[in-house]
Amino acid sequence: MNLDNYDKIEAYLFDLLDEKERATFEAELKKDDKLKAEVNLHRLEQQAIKLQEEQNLRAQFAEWKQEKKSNTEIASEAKVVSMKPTRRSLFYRLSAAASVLLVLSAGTFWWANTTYNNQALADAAFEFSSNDRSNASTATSDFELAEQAFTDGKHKEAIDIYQNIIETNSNPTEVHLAEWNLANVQLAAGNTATAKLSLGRIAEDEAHTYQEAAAELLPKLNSFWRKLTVN
Amino acid sequence: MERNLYDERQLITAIKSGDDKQQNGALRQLYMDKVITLKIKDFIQHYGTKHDADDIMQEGILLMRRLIQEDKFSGNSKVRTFLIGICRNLIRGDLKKVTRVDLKGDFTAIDNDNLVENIDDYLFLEEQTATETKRDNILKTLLEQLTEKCRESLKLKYYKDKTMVQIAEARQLKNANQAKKAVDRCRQRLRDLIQQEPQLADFLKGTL
Repeated sequence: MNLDNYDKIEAYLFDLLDEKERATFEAELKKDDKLKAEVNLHRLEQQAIKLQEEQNLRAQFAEWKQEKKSNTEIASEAKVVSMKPTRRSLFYRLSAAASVLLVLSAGTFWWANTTYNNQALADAAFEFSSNDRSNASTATSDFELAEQAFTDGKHKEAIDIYQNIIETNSNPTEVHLAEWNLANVQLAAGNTATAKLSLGRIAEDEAHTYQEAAAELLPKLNSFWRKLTVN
Repeated sequence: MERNLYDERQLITAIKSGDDKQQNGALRQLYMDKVITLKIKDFIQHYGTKHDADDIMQEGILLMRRLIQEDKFSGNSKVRTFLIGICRNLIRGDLKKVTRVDLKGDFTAIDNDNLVENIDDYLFLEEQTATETKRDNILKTLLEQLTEKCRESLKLKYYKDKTMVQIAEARQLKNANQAKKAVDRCRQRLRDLIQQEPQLADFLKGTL
């Protein structure tokens, strides 16, 4: 191997010579068959090494192709279920949906009724008188009688007793209690309009013991859920 | 979906790097790119060819790599688009072997769709002659007569342009001197094989 020529040949083959150098070298090539053969040998060596590199890459591509193929197979195996429902499965799906809807509806009706019907609202709001009635002006028995009548569902009786307490009692706290419970009994009795009026008056009275309670109860009487109740 | 490791600029850097891991990473990313694969499949359907998308992709990537490593491609945002354009050209040419690839004109300003459509204006592909194909086939058989270690030494020296110190490290040789001896020995072996091959005689004379 002629090492002096090696660098020159490399530079020539890789196009690193300037115009003048290139022309000089090519002139030498025309005259020197040995140099020509050396250049051609060099060319073939370079081509062989380039081919070797490409062979290595092609082997790599073959591996990646296999990997791509495996990934595609996994993806297509995962598609087990058909997207288009059959008529039979559609029927079952619709039946299941209808059943769920029925249960939800029944549940909703039940909840609305136990929460928003007149009796339920009245029971939740009704207040039983305190045991400590040392300052009471109304006989213990009147409040107790009214409360008993309410509990027994004897709404008219309870209304009468509470109206009497309101007319005759001089104790504001007791009057407020009687007014509040009267409104609730009216509600339980189904006299919704009357109950609303009473509660409205209480809610507007800043001095009333049950002003806040009335303000809370009133919107419930206008709630959407009361449309689902049986009163 | 796989996350791309390299952006367009990094693809070029990785392919030029001379580092096998980086280069393979970049080439693999291009090869696995689903958008490119779909585009190629569209072209195959449109123009018709017996070759599959993977074959086209391989040849396209090898040409793209050559352009980048020969410092002919410097478009910093059009690697994928250019690759699609090359593949389109290969499909239209029915995947004929290419001996030389070159660029002409400045394509950096053109938009991607127009680049692919008008790739002929920017890409020069010289088809390999039958003689060149014959030459390459002969060289491949000669390479098989070299040992794996020899082929590796030659690749490191003449393709990767590594120093003898680097070759010694890669080949687990004692020192640079031993690496040089190994490289020289392998090179001489290859030269002898070429010179002794009668079918390559005309190539050596320069008559082909």
